[in-house]
Amino acid sequence: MAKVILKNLVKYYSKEKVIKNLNIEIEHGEFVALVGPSGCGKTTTLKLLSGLLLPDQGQILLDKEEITFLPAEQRDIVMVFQDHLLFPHLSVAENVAFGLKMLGVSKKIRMEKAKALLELVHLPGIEQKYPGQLSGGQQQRVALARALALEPKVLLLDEPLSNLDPTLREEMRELILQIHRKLNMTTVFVTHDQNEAMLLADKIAVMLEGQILQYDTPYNLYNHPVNKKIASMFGVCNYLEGNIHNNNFFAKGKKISIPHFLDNGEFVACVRAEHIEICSPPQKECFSGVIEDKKFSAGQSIIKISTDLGLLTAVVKNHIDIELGSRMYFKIEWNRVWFQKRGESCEDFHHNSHLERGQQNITNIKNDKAACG
Amino acid sequence: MGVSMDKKQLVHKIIVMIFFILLMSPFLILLLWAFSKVWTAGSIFPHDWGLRGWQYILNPQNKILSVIGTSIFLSLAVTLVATIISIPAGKALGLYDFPGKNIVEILVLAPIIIPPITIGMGIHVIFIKYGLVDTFLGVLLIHLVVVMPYGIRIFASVYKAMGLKWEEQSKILKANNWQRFIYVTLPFLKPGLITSGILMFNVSFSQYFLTFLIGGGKIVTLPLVLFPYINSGDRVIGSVISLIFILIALIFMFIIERVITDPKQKSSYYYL
Repeated sequence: MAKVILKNLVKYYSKEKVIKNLNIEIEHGEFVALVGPSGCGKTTTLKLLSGLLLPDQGQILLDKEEITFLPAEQRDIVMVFQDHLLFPHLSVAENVAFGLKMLGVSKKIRMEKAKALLELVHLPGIEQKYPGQLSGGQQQRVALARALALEPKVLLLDEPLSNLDPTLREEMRELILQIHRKLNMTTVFVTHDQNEAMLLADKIAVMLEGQILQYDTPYNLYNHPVNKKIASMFGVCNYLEGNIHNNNFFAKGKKISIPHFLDNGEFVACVRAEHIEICSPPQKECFSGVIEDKKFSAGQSIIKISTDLGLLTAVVKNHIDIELGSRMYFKIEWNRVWFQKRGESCEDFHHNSHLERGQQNITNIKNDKAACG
Repeated sequence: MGVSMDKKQLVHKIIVMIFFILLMSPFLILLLWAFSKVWTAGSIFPHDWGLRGWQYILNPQNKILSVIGTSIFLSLAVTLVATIISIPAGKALGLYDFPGKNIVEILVLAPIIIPPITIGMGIHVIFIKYGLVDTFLGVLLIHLVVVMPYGIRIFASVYKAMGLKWEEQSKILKANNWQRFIYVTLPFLKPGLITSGILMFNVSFSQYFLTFLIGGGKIVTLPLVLFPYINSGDRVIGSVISLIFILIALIFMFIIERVITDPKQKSSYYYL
């Protein structure tokens, strides 16, 4: 079992607070991704966990045992760095077996283990090569094998994919996932690529400025983000400002009845681009809009529509055979829309650019009779 | 095209030859002197050949061999002690920031920049007080002063190029302090060990003034016996001692390269 708890962690770098009261609980066997822009404290968090840095405040618990100030070499936690950092003067096998050698494991067992691990990372038979003779992807896989050789309770990965080209990236990603499923090792993965995090992790912790904004499953981050910032990180979002009164949402002079109960007040509706559908034939609740832009990408079209509600981005299946500037009808799946009270914490995030541009367009399309019906 | 290339190559060859001759000619003259018997001024080559110089040096009565022994032992000891001190000092200067780092850096370099006479005078007084004058230990200490700046500078730059990442990586892989140094840091320091070892040995080996001042004639090294012969005009013996001097430096260089360099490793600088 390996349950990790980080409690109220605080870390200063020469007076600057880089980690501000960080709390996170990682269950045994969970794959957790730390996502955030560079400089948000992801790598620092990982170094605190590994013991390379010591926190100024707070606690780290591994299986209810406090390890906050335990030196890195005594923790049951191993980290793979962004640069593979394979020892250039040692052969691949010696590299993989390095940790075991430090623990005093006999040479025979070490070499057997190295061989088995190299097979696990799909690199059999390269034991005698030197790191300089390997490609970038191979080096990264050897680094992974070297970390796994110690059979740690917790595996930390610091952007192991960021130095690889796209195809290798995907291959390595699959390998990491496959190994994680096989060994069921508690894993913490740092990345700035939210897409990667979505694909890999059981749970994602979104970090910003030394704090965790939301710690949840990928599904919940997409469907129930706590603020606009996170909503825009995981997918395209349209923001509609309006008021809620008696369970009706009023925006730009339109009245929409909402399926779930909310208090009266000023709200921002977050509409996922995927939750806007084309209506054909037009129905009662449909809106009309002019196609401003369309792009086709792998089975889906990304279209920009200017409507009474503003400029909206929609992602629809297949290619749409409509010329730019022509009018079409669409509807919003209101039961999947999420509402955020205006004036709350995240209003200062300027992520309503769609809306701002939309407002300019509204004057142009004023004459247009809204919607059908 | 072909002609111009040939011309270019010819010019290149000539330049290389000129430099070779310029660099080697003092050495050749030494060789000629060492094996000559009579060489009057004005003639290009010696009139007569002989082994007088070599006989003189090999004669135990003249104590040259024991002086060579002292010299080698002293310089080896200086190099070893200086290396042991320079590695941690270089690490501190190369990797860490601490208050007063700039001042320490200047102080470390000072013995190279300031003429040895000035250091020697000051230290001489202190050494008299502590009874270190005329002792082997005293000479060793004064050599350390002039030799260590080279070692510290070299190891500081090696550590700087290496960074902390390798140490962090080996820490993560459960290596303790000593294991980290032996299995990870030391292989990275190898090029630095070669350069600093050769440099420090040679600086110590050719030190004249400070050895003379602190050793007070009791600790006699090769430069101390070489000087009177050159000065008094016995060029034959002077040349023989000079040749031995060069030979020892070359042998030391060869040995240190052989011992430290790892034949498996392709580039001598891992971190580049």
